[in-house]
Amino acid sequence: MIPLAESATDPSLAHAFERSLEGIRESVALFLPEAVLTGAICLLIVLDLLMPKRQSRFLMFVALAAVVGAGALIFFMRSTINQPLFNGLIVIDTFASFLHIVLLLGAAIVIALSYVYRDFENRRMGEYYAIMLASLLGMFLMASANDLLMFVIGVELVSIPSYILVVYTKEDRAATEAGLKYVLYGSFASGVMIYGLSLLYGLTGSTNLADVSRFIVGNLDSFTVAVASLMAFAGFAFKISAVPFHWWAPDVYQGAPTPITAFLAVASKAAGFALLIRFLDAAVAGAGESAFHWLNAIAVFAALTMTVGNLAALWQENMKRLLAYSSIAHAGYMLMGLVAIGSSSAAMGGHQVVAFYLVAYLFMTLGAFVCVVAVYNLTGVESMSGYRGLGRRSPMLAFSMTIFLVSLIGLPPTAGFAGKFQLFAAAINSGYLWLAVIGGINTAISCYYYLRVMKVMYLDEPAVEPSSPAFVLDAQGLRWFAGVLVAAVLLVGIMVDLVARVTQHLIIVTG
Amino acid sequence: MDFLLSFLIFGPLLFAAIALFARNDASAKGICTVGSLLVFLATIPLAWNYSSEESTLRGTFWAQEDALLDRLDDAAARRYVDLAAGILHGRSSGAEGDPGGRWNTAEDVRSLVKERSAIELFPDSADAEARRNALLATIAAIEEDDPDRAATARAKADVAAESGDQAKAERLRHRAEMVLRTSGVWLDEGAEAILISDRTYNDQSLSSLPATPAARQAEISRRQAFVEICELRKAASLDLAKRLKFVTRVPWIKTFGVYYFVGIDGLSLPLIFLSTLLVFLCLVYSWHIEKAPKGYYILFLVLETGLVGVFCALDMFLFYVFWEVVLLPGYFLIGIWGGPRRTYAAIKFFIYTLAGSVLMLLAMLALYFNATPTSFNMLALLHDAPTMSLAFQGWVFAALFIAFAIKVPVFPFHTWLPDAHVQAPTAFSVMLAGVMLKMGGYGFFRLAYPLCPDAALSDSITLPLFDWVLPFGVPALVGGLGLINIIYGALVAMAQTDFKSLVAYSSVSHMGFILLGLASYTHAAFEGAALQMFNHGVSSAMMFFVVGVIYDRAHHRDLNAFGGIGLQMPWYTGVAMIAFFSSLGLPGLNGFIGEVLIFLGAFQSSILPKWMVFTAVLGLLFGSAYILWTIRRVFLGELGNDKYRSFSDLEARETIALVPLAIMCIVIGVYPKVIIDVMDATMVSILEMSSKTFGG
Repeated sequence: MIPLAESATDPSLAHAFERSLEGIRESVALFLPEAVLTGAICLLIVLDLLMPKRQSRFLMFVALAAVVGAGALIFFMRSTINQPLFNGLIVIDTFASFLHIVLLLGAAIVIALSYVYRDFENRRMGEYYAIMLASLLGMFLMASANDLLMFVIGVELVSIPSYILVVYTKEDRAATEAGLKYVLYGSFASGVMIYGLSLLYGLTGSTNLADVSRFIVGNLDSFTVAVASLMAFAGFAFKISAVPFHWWAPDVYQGAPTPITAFLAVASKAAGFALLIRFLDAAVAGAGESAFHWLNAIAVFAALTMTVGNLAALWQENMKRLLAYSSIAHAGYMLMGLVAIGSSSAAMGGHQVVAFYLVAYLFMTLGAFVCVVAVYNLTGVESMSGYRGLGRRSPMLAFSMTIFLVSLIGLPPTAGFAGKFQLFAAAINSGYLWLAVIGGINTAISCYYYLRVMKVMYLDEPAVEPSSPAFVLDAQGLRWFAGVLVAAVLLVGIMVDLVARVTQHLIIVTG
Repeated sequence: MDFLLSFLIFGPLLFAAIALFARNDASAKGICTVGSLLVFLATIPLAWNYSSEESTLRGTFWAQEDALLDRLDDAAARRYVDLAAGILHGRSSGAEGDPGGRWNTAEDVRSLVKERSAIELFPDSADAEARRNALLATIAAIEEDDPDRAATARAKADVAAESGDQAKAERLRHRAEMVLRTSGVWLDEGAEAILISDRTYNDQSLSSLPATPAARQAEISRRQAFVEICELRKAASLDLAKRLKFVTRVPWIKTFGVYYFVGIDGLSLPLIFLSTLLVFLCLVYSWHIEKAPKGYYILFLVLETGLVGVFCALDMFLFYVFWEVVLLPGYFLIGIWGGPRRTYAAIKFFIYTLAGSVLMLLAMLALYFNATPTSFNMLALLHDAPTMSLAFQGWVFAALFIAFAIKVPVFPFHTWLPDAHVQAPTAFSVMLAGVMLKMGGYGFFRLAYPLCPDAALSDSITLPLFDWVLPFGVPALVGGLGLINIIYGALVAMAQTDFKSLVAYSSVSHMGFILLGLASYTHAAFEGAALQMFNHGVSSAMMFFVVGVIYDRAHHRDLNAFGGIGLQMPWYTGVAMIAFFSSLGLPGLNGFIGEVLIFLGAFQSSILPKWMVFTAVLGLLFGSAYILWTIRRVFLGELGNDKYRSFSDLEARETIALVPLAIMCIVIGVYPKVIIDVMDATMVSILEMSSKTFGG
């Protein structure tokens, strides 16, 4: 903080102040994508007031345009830039830009999915999209945060809109209950995180990640640092739903409107991982051997997360709840890749393999949610019974779901396999064979519940008589929607280089 | 012709895609069947070409080998041993340092040799040119220094002689001489000698020969064994790489060095032939399927892609991908078209196999990172195999062994098989017994054994964590598991009343022979095991067809309720007899040849306990018992039920499915050379991956 009165008299301080102003002015140009999103938020709120309720759903196109515009700006402006902005508050590097593109992809799919979701008919949708973009903006900041303050701002900017989105269908009791749980857990987790971050600030006297990193690397064995970092980890773990901070996920995923569930499962988790990776990279990357305990801790969290997620998923009857536990398990797999965070390996570094997996995870998880929405729109059911005989009632939808499930199991030739393979490789390459073995056992366990869905779709008799008119489920547009995601899952799985060539070169800059 | 192989892999997928858009079920069935026929026909020129080339080569190889054995006198052998010893000795320094201090240990020699092989293996990698230049420069620098080094050593020897230390002086003079003698040739001629001698003799035993003349002589004569292989392999080029034909190698995932790398050799060709044939026969046989035939036919073609892919893949990543491709069609074929407990059987099949393949994935990654440069190329991995430590090999072998053992299936991992077989539709049972079980056996031959020969042949097993040393070695363990399979499978088969589960357990029993052959690790046994894989593929496929034919008519499979079918359906019975007697191992049919070779090899083997072989022969006895008993219960005696009078003999589709297989049983039984010629050289080269068999 620079007291203004003093700066007027002290020439060196005045100079510093000027320099920081100069820094801000330079950064603004590169901050254009975020500015586009902010503009779109304001525009959406205004338009929503002007438009009649029934037409408000068409505001989807405004939101979509903002997302596409931000994506184009990032692609053309920032894809090769590695530099801190706003005097080191945030940093734009290839890792951040990649994550931004992933987030935008996820948001675009979720926005389109919201447009067709049955429960959102006849509802004022402008503010919905505005709130979603606000949350997206928060995720952008999380992905490029380079300052402990920005960590907090990012997390809160994501969380608060998410609380609202979860209860957007407020007459639905389950949604309200889920929202309440989410708020309670969320505020508790961010409280703990802020406490941890403030401890770090107290230790280092700076909120800049580079300074914090220097301090942590020098004091890896210090008890206080460990406690502070663990508390900060609570916040990240909440966002990525890692054990033991995963309790909210099943209820919230089940209660929230499905597009929002998808948004939380994919975008929110990706942002959480981005933040976690930034923090870990700062703490561990330069530390070499002495980061041993930290990596072990990550490995233990990974093993617990995937095991708990998979075991709990085994007996779920509600599709969204099943996918919730599955997403917990996948957080575990990604944590497994993070043990390679300090690795010197060119192509198998922690952030690279996780970035790849996030792409695979995005397509397959969103694909599964598209199928859930399709079935819900047609039958009004989210439980497993709605999927009975889907293979004969709506072959294309069932086929798409099968591909997504196969990818979630991690079988070739799908994106899920390409990603999981890299996670395993990274873990083994970093010497965590035991963790890879646990991951392998988990994969075998997980195939039971994914196969159960396939079993219900193909092997069980349909609940409706084949002769009745209700037999054929025609999901129309959603079939093609799912079809596009199937193509993406297969494309990423077969032409692995398409994405791997990019992720391989991602770098993290600390300014 | 190379593209034909890729057609075999992707052709089925292509026809499946066309069939997907077919307007009705009948045309989809037609497209798939014709497609599978075309794919099968495409294997014929490949097989023809391969076998004709191979049999000419085989003739010249034996002639060459004889000539070599004559020529290989002591002088030549000693020269080689000297060379290897000289290179390691003369170029390693130990305490007495050499000028520059740059060239310190025998390890460096090895790393140079390895570097050179790596460059040769990956001539098209980006930095190959730069690395080659660097290597050449290093070698040139070393050789330039050689006179200096020799001079220094000689000077030191003089000093030692003056001070009265004659032994040291002698050693130093020897070193000086070796440096000069090997200068310029050490990397070329000595490379192979070093690599092979590394297997058993570490540099200590090489650089310090035993002191007493007798021990010295013994040592040298033992080393001659290695020299022999050196010469033989060089002259007759028995490298596995040289057996491969129709090779295609295209980069697939450049980021991780994954290639679309396929080719066939004598081990894979028979299995590919069998896969494509059986898929065609199964599709013809399944013409009467009424439940969603389009999906059924398409899944079979997807299955075919996976199977052929597994047998052709030379890149481990690719191998794994195809391995998994087989899984899903299997799940759906059992789960949708299967019997009453199909869901349970399908899920069990899937989870068992997936658990195995995850282990394989871990082993694959371990191998990938162990190789320098990291690689999935099976040939490169095989090349590096001798440098892997025993502990590492042990882990990799254990993982691969369990992965493949589940597929074979080996006791105690076999419980999924009877469930899957009994519940599966006839045609899928045929594929399962005919080819899919062979994926496991193929994996042993292609990966587990050649990649980890030391582990596969080690004579003690230490359990990690507890440090318990088991009282038996790996060969005895594998042989013992094979023995359990043989005896246990046969006994359980005898107790079955369900016709199909009897055939399923007979598969368990027959696959035990393959394990026995592997464990004996001799030429005859290896060849017998590979032949047994093919033979069992033919005869068990026939037996499942036979069961299917009678089940379609009687709608039950209770062995005790049949009887007298022989008079009612004479043609059917005739074909069924060929299948049964082939499975029983009657001379004149194919089953006999494979089993006799396995027993021949197993008796010759020095590493397999003899009592195991004797006990395994009992399996043949039990096998005859349950098969003869089945024949009596089903085909002979009074007609079991008056209903059976209405049974008609074989229909056209059933005849088409059964007759080609019956002909193959007889042809191979009478003239096994057609297939042995194809396999022989490949099996020898796989056997040779481990030089231990020759040394010990």
